[in-house]
Amino acid sequence: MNSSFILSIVTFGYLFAALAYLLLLVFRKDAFGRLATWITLIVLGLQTWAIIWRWIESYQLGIGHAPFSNLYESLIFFAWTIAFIYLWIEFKTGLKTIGAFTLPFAFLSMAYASFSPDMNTRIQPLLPALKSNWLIAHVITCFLGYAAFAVSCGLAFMYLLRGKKPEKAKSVAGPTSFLPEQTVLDDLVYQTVMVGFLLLTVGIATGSIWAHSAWGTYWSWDPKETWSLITWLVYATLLHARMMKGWHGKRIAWFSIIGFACVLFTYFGVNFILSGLHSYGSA
Amino acid sequence: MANTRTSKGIFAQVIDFFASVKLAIVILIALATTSVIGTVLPQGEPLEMVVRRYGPATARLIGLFQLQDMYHSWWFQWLLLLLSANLIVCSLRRFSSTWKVIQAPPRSVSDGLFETLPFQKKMRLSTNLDASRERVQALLGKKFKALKTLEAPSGLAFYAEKGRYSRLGVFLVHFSILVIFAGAIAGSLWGFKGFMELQEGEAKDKITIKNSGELRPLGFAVRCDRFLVSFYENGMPKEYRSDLSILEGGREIQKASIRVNDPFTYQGITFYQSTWDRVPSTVNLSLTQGEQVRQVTVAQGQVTEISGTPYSLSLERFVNNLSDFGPALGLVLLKDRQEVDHSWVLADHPGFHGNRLADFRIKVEKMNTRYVTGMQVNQDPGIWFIWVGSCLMLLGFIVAFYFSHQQVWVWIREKTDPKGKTRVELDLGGTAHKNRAGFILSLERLVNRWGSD
Repeated sequence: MNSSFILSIVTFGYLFAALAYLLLLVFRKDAFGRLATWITLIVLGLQTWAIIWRWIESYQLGIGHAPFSNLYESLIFFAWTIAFIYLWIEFKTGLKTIGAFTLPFAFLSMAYASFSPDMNTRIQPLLPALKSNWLIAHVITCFLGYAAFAVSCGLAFMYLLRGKKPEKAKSVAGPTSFLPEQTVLDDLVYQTVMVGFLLLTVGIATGSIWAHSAWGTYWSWDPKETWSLITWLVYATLLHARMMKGWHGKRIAWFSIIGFACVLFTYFGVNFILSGLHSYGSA
Repeated sequence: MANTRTSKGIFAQVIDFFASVKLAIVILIALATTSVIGTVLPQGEPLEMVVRRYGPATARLIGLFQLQDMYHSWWFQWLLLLLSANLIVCSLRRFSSTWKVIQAPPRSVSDGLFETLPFQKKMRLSTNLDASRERVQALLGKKFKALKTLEAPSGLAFYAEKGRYSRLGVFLVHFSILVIFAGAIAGSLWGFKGFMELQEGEAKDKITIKNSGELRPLGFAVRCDRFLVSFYENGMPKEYRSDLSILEGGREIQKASIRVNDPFTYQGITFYQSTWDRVPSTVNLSLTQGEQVRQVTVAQGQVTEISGTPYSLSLERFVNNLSDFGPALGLVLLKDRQEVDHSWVLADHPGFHGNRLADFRIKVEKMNTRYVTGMQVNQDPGIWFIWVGSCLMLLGFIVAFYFSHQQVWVWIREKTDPKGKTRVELDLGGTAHKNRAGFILSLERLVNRWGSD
């Protein structure tokens, strides 16, 4: 048994957690909600253990480094950050149905890491350019930011699905009327975008410090950098529209979805379609 | 008079245009969408390459908009300039009114005041005026530090607030972007990016500037004493290191080692480990001609006579890996200073049929190599602006996102109802300059707690 085995359990764990949240949505039984929260907590704990274990394994191989160095490891950490940020929101707001819309992202990320045929899952030594503490700070902040944007996107889908059905019709309406009220969702979409924007900014800043120490330039307009800037600009536009122009509801929901599409392109599209310094995806 | 009024009107319109949020949103979207072009089209290629790749018609269009180097193109710079103008004008215009709000004393209580506040609550109290005042202080004291007594037309009035200066957060964010721009401009005006290649043992006092290729004196010399490269067991590179000496007037001033991610700075000029190479200093060859075997030692750039023959050998070039066949020597055979034959000789493949010049079979016996280190050499006087600007931006975001100016007014009055009975009435109202919904919710919770105890 090794960390990879636990990580494959984690993959299914997130699937079950997402299904439990979906059952809560359909049957509206609190028991499903409690079950779903427990599954998510246990799976997140298991995954934390697996990540730490993989870290230890790398030291046992004599090439010790933090497990944030290739596409496989980043996907696992992405799933971790999504589950982490979701649980944080659940504990803050008590709104469990959000899990049905955000944990699928965690599952998809794990599934891609676990089942993609050309995924390199081995622990490999670090290239000289990647040996930097700034890299660890860069990866952690970027992925926490990406996860906040993923959760925001899930909330935006919820908002669009929720519609303006009146609360009274709860007993006869479909599962969507069990979702939180639109004003609550609208506010959460915005709050999570702020968290993500703050973290993305830290991520870009730490990335440029790292680039500066490795290559002597803090900004070189390589496609990854440029796409992270494009993502940043899209969310900056969202925040201006919200704060200064009072945009809310549908427009902000769509904006958040477009923003997350930019995040996904920054993460995957640049690796597979464009080329640059960050193209670890081709390895 | 009418004339000056219209010109004033035009000026005000221009200011309005530059200060508008609409313009900010348009510029942000324009920057985001145009930036995509540079991630799809290869950047930094010479125009001839663009012509070959896309044909003359498309290339003319690309050239017109400098799309082959779009982030440094005239129109992209203009967009950035427009963004700066937008930031400056908008901030200056808003700052004076925000500053007035920050400096202003709290509004005095009146029935009209409470009507304008987004949160308002009227309560009847069973306690008398003095006891009520103590309860108000106990309740609001948890959320706000100090309660200020306001003058009131009747009864008692209090005011409490927090986060007054958080109104400045947004200015901090906008200012930080200008600081970063200033750093970038300073770097491109007074800094340079160059390159230097040093063989082990070699010293140079000039670097080659990127793009222009111009040679720039450093004011001191750098010598590479040693270059080290180490590998992991699986063959991946582990570390590149150059041991350098700084020389001034031929005297050694300082020693330093640079690695990838671990540069070295001397007199504001920073050396980064960038590339490396290996060149042979001398190569021992054996030349077989029929039965006769001769030993020759060649060095790059030198012509060596082959003793006992009218020929001589010249090592013209060396490559570390020729078409995946490993190190190769570009050798030229000369007679009377005229080329007779030339060939690539593979060092690791002695049996290769091409290891031959005229009727000599050539075998590489030993290569004495010397490393070459390639260093990026930069000076960027704007770098601290970038780091300070980034920190200010983060600070600004935290203030702008998570703090707001929250104000609460309380007015306690004794009122006599028609039956002649006196009772105490309390008005509580509040506002926040941001996240009003959250603030209203927290005040509601506060008031509910009041009701319950």
